[in-house]
Amino acid sequence: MKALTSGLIANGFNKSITVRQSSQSSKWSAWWNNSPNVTISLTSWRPGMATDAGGYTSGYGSPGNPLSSIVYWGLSDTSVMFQADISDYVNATLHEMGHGVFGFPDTQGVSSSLMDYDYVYTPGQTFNSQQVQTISNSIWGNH
Amino acid sequence: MKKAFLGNYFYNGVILVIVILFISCQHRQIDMRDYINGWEYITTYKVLPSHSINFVKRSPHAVLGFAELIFGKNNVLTCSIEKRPIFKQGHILTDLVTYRDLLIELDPNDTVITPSHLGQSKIYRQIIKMTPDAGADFLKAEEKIEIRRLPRNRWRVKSELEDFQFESEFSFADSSTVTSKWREMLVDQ
Repeated sequence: MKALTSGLIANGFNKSITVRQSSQSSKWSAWWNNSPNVTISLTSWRPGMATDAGGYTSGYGSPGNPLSSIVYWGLSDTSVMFQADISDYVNATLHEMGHGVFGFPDTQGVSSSLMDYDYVYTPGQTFNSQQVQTISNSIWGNH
Repeated sequence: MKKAFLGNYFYNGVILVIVILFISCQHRQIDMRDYINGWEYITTYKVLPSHSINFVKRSPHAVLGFAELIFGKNNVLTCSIEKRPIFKQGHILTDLVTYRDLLIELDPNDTVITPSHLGQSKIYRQIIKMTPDAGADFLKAEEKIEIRRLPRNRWRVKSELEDFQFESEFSFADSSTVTSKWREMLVDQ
């Protein structure tokens, strides 16, 4: 959670952002404080799943309207026992939030960004400057 | 009797609420058939004279890293297959696109090239998708692809790789690109 908090702040999110284990009370607390919130589900990889990727978001969101995002514990389909690093889960979560919360599309080999398949799992990778600006200017940022 | 009846109602109600809460708290597994009608495959062949393949490692899990095609002394042939989902109306699921590349760097001094007899030439398979171990790797020695040099800077490729099946002659007199598309529609069961 510390690593994810640092990753969020490094990408333009408000410095007072908190990452908590999801619970009904944490959702009520966010509602009470009028804070935006998003739920990321971490789920197990099941052999034989008709999936190719480390995470999914159903649809593209718009700022402040998060859609459901799922990140897989097993981020690779080449090995069921694949053990990824913490930075991989942080990057996958940020990537899925990029889709679900901000509507950023995927790219491949276009720019150094968490949304680009060539760069998404590079340790310490951030969104590109334009995307960081979008986050920073949103209700999630330091606007 | 009346008390027991009302008690049962109360407990049945409590059990019903617990069951509803339990079901609603379950992780919903994504069923692709709810989202996808089929897949679109875009195949692109690229002929690049005077080029080489270079690798950049961006993830610690990648074997070789990601390929870059740079100017060099050899000929480069690439076959790329982009697999894209065809979504049902109103449905989108992210991160389903897969890029699969066959990357071949041909040294003009070689005559017959196979994965077990590369000479100075190189053959790689690159898979790019939303996984940490995405990137390029060498072909296995037993994989079936044969590349034969022909006169006048032409090469014949016969590929029986599971993911790249084609047979063709390629001229390296000039750069060229050929793209084709086809769709595979899923049948609802």
